[in-house]
Amino acid sequence: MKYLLNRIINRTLERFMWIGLLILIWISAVWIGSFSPLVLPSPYQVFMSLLKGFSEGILGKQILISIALVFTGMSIGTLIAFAFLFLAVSSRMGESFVTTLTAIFHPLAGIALLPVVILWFGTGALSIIFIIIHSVIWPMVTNLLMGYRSIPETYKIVGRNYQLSSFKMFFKITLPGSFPYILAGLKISWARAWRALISAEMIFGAVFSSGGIGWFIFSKRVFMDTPGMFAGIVVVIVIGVLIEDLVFGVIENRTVRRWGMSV
Amino acid sequence: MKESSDILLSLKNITKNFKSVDSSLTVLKNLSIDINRGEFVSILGPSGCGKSTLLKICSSIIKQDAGEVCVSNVIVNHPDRTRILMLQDDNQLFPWLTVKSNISFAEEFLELKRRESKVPKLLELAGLSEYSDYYPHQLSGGMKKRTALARAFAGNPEILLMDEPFGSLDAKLKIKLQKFLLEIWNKYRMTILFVTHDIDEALRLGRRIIIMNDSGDIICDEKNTLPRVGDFSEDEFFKLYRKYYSLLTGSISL
Amino acid sequence: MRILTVFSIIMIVFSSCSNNKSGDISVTIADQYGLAYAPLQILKEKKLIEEQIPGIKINWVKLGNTAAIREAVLGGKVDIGFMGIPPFLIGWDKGMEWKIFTGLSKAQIGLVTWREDLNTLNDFGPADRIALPQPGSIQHILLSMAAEKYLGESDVFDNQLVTMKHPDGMSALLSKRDVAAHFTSPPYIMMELSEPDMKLVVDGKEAMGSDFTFIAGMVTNKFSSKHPDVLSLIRKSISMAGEFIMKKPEEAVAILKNDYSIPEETLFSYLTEGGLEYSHEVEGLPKFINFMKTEGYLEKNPESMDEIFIEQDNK
Repeated sequence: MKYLLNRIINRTLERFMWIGLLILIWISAVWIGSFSPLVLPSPYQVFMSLLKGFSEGILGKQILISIALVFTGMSIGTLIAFAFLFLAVSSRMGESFVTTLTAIFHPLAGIALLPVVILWFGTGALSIIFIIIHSVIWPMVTNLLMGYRSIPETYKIVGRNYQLSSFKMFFKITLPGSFPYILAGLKISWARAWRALISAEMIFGAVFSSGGIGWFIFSKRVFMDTPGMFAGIVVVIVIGVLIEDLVFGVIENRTVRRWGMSV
Repeated sequence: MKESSDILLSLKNITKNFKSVDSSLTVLKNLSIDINRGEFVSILGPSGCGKSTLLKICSSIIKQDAGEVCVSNVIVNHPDRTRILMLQDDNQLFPWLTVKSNISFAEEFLELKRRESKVPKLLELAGLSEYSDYYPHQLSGGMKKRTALARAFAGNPEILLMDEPFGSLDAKLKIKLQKFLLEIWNKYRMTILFVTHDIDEALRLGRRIIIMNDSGDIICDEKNTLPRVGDFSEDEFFKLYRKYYSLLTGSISL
Repeated sequence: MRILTVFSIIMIVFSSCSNNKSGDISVTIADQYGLAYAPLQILKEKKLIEEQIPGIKINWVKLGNTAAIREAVLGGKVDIGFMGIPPFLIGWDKGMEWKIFTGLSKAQIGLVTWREDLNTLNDFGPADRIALPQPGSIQHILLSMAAEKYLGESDVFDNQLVTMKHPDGMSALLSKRDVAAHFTSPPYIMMELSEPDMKLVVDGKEAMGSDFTFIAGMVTNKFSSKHPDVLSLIRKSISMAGEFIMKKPEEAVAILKNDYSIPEETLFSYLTEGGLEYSHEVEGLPKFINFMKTEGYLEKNPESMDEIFIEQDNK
């Protein structure tokens, strides 16, 4: 446990070092270039905008809404992906169906589907969640399938030898056995989902009466509050990094790293 | 040839073909063997003669094309916990479970009470008590094999089917593990079918020697005349060794 | 060393050449889609600016929305843009150095709904989504004016807005789902109102209380101070184009028809009876400023109109 903590701390310190460096470069650019704050605000202005956003109350709510939306979308998307996995491994027809579907839909950017999504699901949270689900399913299915195929036959033989039911086989062998791929799939899906969410929020406006971070950024943009816009972008980045490090980093350490299984 | 005691595992007219795109290879043809309860049988044979296939059929992991597999006179078609197969593979252990959990994996289905668990005893016997919380990737090859063996024993199998389990290890480690195996067998007296290509190992472990040729036929099936423990004269050993060696090499068609 | 001097001299000579009036002046103009921008399309077709200013090089740029145009102007990529007065004011308020130099069009714009139960702004509930191009647009400001006028508070609807370009907003409205109303402009407003069940809930003029310029033209201070004469001539060309449409609508339709998938007769009726007026006059500026300053959309008040408006010199 101490070892684990040390690793996280070291990694975090390194991160802070690089971030500090980038901020220094930013400050120098602002100082040297004498940019208008409409084009490149200083870190200080952005920080003040951040404080303002939080103190006016709405930014906090927007962050929660964004996270709730992406979490919902990812959960549903992952479940559906597992359903597809089940279909793909249970029959040859199932497999060709799933792989064809993936080939068609994976390259399609969620935002391209926007007009269709609006027509079918309206302009509320449902549409945003749908777009997130779409961003999540296809990379997830791809990884799940790869993970499933990567499981050594030996494990399955052991499972059969001990007369494991399909249910137990799945939870005791298939799931942990393909876990490195599952984790990789989750990481990719998260990145895609977060991106799609912010873009979708910019368009769909004030869902749940305040909208999410994407709407925050968009509003700042149209009212030419560039420091505010940057503040929103900073929030997006920070959340992205936090989830990467705190959530996925920890999971990875407790599972894949600990078990010596890597993709 | 066979001792008259009860027959636990019986193979009757087993035939197995492997089909490829344009040809069909008959690996086993009309093979019949009876194995008695508590017997330690060494199966020798050249590579590709079908010994691994034989073991897999015995455990029902693969299905035969003709013939029957019977346990205590009952036909069996599906794998079950009473017949545990131990593969050649270096990677049999589940990497996401500790040594202890890997071993106790076998016990889960026995519905034992905590104090009845054989795991601590097995860990001790295998010399792995200190490593019980380690993960397989942290272990040496020999330790992995010991863990796999311990797991195989933990489930109280009636029949243990071992496919060249010590094949990839160095001589010293082999001897150590052979000792471990014999200790367990002496203690629990399960029935063991031990496949190997090493005559030395076959003689040291098995009480009964079966030799297969590369067409999948049994060309020798007799009791191992060497005494188990204590000294046996090198003469006796080498006499048998040479006999089996020539049987083996003679059975290889060039 | 000598080569460097010669090279530098050549460069200086070339760069001074570009300031020649009959030489290569280039101007980048950003326009948008819609009948309110029709004079620009006429301009382009008939090359009116090039007639007035021979040798001028015009880059026409179509950007996705008003905010993009503003950003392009800010970044020095665009000299002249066209948009509603409110977005211009927001830019100016934040320190953008530009001014209005001409009006472009007046139009009937307003809030259209398919919902039977929505007859006045009072009837709108928080779940009734309103589509408009973006917050801070003239549509948003007019909606806020109407809200303030009829409901007492200007930002009542701010949390139920959906950002949609006009064509998407129209699809959403026509599909009669959760977009309850669409604040839009020609030709979409006409197309929507010609559908059964559609009605106008708020009219822009009503909300404003008077006539107003819908779309105006803005120019960077940099360009206008460098090429005041060119600017005048551009303004003149725009005026001419506007007059052309008003006086010879059939010919105008012939030019415009390719940009719209609307039958010619319909297009003709929109141009002549749709309430569109092409004029270089700029109306409603003080009212917009006043409202936006009071409601907090603007922080500054211009001290004189010169700060935001280039009056045209007498023709």
